[in-house]
Amino acid sequence: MSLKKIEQIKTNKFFRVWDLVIYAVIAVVIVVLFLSVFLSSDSSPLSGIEVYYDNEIIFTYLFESDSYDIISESNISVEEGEDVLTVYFTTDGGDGHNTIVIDKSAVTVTVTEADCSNRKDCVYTAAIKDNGGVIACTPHKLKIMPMDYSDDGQTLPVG
Amino acid sequence: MEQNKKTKNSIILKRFACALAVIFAAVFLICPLPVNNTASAATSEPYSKTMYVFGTSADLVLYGDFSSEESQAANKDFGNMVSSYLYSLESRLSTTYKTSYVYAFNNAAAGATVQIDEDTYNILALALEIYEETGGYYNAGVYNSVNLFGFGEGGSGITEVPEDEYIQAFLTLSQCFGDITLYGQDGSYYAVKPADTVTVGGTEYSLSIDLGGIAKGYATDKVKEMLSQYGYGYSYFSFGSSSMYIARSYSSEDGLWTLSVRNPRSQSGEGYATTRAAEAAISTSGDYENYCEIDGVRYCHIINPETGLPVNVSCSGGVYSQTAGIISATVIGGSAAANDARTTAIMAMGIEKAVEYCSSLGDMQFMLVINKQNITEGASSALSQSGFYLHDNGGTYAVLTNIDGLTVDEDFLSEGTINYTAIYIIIAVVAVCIVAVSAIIIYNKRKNKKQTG
Repeated sequence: MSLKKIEQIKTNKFFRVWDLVIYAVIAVVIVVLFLSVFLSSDSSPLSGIEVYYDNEIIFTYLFESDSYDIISESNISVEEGEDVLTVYFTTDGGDGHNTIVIDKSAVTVTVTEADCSNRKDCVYTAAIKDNGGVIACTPHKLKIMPMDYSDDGQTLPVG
Repeated sequence: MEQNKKTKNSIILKRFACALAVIFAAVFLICPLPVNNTASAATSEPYSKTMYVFGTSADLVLYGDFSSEESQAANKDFGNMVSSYLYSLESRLSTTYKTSYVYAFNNAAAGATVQIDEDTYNILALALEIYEETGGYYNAGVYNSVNLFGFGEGGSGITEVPEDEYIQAFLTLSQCFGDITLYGQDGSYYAVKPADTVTVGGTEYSLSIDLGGIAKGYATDKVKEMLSQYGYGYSYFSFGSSSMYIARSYSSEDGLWTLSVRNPRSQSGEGYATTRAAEAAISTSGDYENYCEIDGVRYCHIINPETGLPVNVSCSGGVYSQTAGIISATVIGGSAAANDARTTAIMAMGIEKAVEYCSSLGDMQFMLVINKQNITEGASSALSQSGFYLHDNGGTYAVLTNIDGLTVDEDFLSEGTINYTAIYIIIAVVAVCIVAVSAIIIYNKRKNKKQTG
């Protein structure tokens, strides 16, 4: 900047008009982005999950207390890690397996491995991040749901 | 000079700090505003029951004001009633349960008369009716072929294509499905098995049928009747999303559901199209439901009764290849049982015949996803001259439908095309950057020259 410019800045008002316009635009963009993410999904935080086998609850996990409850020891075994809890599911009879990974820091739940079929829908289903997500493994009669699961009551998958 | 530089930096920093303070203040002021993310207007939790039956999961969901204990008890009783019916139907129609009438039929000798019950009689009668209606493209007699390709109950395909003599033998056998005779006498029902047999690999085979697909639709129709009879006007019932009945939506203002139709090539289950409907049966068949791949060719569980091979597969000189065809078919309206059979038939018909057949569906809505790779001229012409809405971006897939205003995912339709728009944008951005950098360099050089000059 030239000397003249600096002198000009010293004498001028603290904020010039264009300064305010640009800052206002930045503020609006940030607010809009924030609200669009905030409003576009069920952002209810995931408090915990329940695992069902053939409609019977067999395992629960709570993120806040980092505690779990194995209700059916014949179907569930657990490997504890610092950031991750790995849950191994086995069907009655021992011929079906799924690996469920609970990421404690990211507060998400995914199925990372399964021997259910060639499709492995459960593995490719998006991670559960909020109270609207469900992961199901139909061949193994396995369902993983948020504790506070809620559906919107107006959207359905077809096919 | 140093003082001026400090002054300049101080002023700029102060302005930046003030601006940040304003932005964060605005954000934190707005954050605590109560925002209702819940779209549901239900006054209590919906009742839901999941049943594992007919090799898939069946979901029954009831909506309403269920705050009273009486209503909750009534829901539970209703759920148990539906569950009992479904498990009972499965035990009578399964191909593997020894108590099943279908098992008895399949294991009976050729030409034998097998006693069946009323539900089995009704379903077989409907299967024969749709067999005639679709010119044989729906054929429940392809069960031997289904097993041959590894898609029998619990199966997930094969690693090697079966020998041609088996394929041809079972193809021949399936042609006698239309010769099944049904009759009722003194309150009992009977099915007479055709006398045809084939011998292959030293074993004699008679006709085997699988009513699993149409049976799910039949069950869906029965559940619809129960929902209506017991006054559950806000509800839905879904057999793995492929055979469904939707009543009215409790949460949407107009009572219509928003249906997201599964992208047949999305592994995460995303939709390729959305539409709205209520009080309708919906059936979908697709080559993604159960399949295997060998040498880049997809073999799915739906058998083409004309070739004995899975749909969209052809064989020439012992070499198997993928053909253009319908990879997903959805029908909305009418009876779930009939539509289950129809969508299966549409998959097998190929593009040209399917387009012609869809013209006969009347008021029912349909959506077909077409794989256009290696599409013939005739098929291409049939699509463009069908008189229906054709969503086609020149990519690998197209969608044919009679639903006005169907929202179709453009990215799905553009799959397989070169994204010229993206390329142009990248080139433009790079060009702008080069020009900007060049301008700055030239400006600085001139400035320096002036100062030194």
